Amino acid sequence: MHKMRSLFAVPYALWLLLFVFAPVVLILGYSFMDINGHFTLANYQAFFSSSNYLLLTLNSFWYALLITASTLLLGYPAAYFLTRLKHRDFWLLLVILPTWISLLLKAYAFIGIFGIHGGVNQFLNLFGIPAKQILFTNFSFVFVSAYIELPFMIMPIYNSLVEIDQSLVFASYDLGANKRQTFTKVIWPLSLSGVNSGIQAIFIPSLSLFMLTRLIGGNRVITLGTAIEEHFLITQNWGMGATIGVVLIIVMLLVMSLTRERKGDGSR
Amino acid sequence: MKQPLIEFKNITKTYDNDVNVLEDLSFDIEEGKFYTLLGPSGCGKTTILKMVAGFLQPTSGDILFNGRKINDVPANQREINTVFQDYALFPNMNVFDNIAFGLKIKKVPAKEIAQKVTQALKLVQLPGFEKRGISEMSGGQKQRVALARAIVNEPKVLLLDEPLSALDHKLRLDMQYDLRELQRNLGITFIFVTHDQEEALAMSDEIIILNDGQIVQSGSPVDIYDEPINHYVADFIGASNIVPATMIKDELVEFAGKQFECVDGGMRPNEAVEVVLRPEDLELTTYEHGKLQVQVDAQLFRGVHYEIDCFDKEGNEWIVHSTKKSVPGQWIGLDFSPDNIHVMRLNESEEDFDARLESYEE
Repeated sequence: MHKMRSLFAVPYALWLLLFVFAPVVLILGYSFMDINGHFTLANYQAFFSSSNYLLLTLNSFWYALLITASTLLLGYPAAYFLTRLKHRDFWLLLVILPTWISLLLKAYAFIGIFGIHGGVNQFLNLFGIPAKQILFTNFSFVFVSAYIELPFMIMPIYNSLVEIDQSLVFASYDLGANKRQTFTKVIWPLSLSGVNSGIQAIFIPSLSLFMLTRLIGGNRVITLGTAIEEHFLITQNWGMGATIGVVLIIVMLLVMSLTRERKGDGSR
Repeated sequence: MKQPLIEFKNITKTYDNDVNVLEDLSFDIEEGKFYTLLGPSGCGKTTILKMVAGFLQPTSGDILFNGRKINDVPANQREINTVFQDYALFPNMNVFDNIAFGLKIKKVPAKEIAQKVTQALKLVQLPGFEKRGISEMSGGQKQRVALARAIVNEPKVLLLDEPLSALDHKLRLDMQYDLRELQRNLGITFIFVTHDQEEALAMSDEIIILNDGQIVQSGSPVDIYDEPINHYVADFIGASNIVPATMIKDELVEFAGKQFECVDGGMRPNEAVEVVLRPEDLELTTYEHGKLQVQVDAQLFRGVHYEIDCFDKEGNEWIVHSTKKSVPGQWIGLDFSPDNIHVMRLNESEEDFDARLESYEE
């Protein structure tokens, strides 16, 4: 019986070994190698002493923060109202639907919409506003990223809101709380797990977006993701690329530990 | 007469599907008493409770609180608190914060809050539980915290929505004593909703029995148990022998093919009625000595008594509670006194019933 069970675990163990453990070890290894394959600490030294890299890191953080904050600001109320609708399964489906479309396709669609002859500019022209450069700006990068990530914020928040027992809301009113107090003291704290999952699902990938920075941001926005891509594909400095990768992994772990669910005594 | 604390005046409640959950309902709740709304699920008792709490508005009619109309006063502005069926404790807070919730909303000073919470926990016999998390407690303990969270606000009325239904039998009995004692000590008006007639009889000052959104009978537990108004109440309030009968004249009733002396009256001669005989009022005796002759069909041992299932010659079923044993298949006699026979008219309203009782009971 016990043997059988271990046998079933083999594919998963292999998978983890090949696609999770091995790549991480490889990245770690490469980060300690120079361009000729010799052991060195120069990559880390370069990363932490160069104002360019630190600025890049800060830049990535800033945009990831902007994207996450805007999805949270838009996503939380959206999720909240979704839970109150009559046919909420249908509306939720409409929220999920765009995630079934290829990311690349959506990015190209926005090139059409935001382009100098695109829909937005044509609309502005109707009111006599001259065509503006919208594509390849920081704004369009944040906007499109937020649009694409939005469902991943709405869904976990929606799930955590739906799970809140309606009688808790009644209990709060019963004990004298008004709508605002009920929200801040009961609904918001109980939906925090969803908010945390949403932040994790968006902030971390946003740190390393590189396709959107190119297609929508026009390479004006350079993030850690873009830098990694450049090092691996263009400058062929794998060691440096791997070093940035390691830094990203550490940052991700930090974010995860900051937003992880605190199970404990139930007190705040 | 004293001003009732809560008055329901001709309350009708209709939901979206046009079904009247409550129909033209009127009753008064007096201060400081323990009321029980008793009825099967779907009788409208929870709807009444939600209206008192302020979670539902009546479709028509008025709810008065101390003589003032409160139809449109929201739940958070009523001096009424609820103990919910599933406790509804906030899982993100510990016991202290749960109980302090209402006081913090009212901006009571922190020192006073701490003092009141400690006192409330003592009242529900959970001293020292302040720091406990909600998930670390048993059902009975959660129940007590929910109770403490409600009474700490010193409401005028405490609503209890089937609070004991999730507890096991022994705990439920303990809580019945505790609730009754708490109500006496605090002097708060309790409105307790249940479908369990034992709970209702054990704890209440007043029982209001509901069926299909209407009040069938209201009164003290003893009144309702001894003088059920009709078949529905008699059946609901406990195992009873209810058989069809004919009222020959005042104080003489015929059932099971025989005529018996009784103490009821005020009916038409030869009116078709029903009689109730409580299982514990029937006594086993020999075939010759019995007023009624029945054959034992089956017997169950219930601990404090035997429950004996018998049939008379006309096929009426008789259930007897007796400490004496009997033998299935045997013909035996049943003995009872005239005042054990309770006669019920068919389709009599509560007003007519009360008036008739008064007419021959002086």
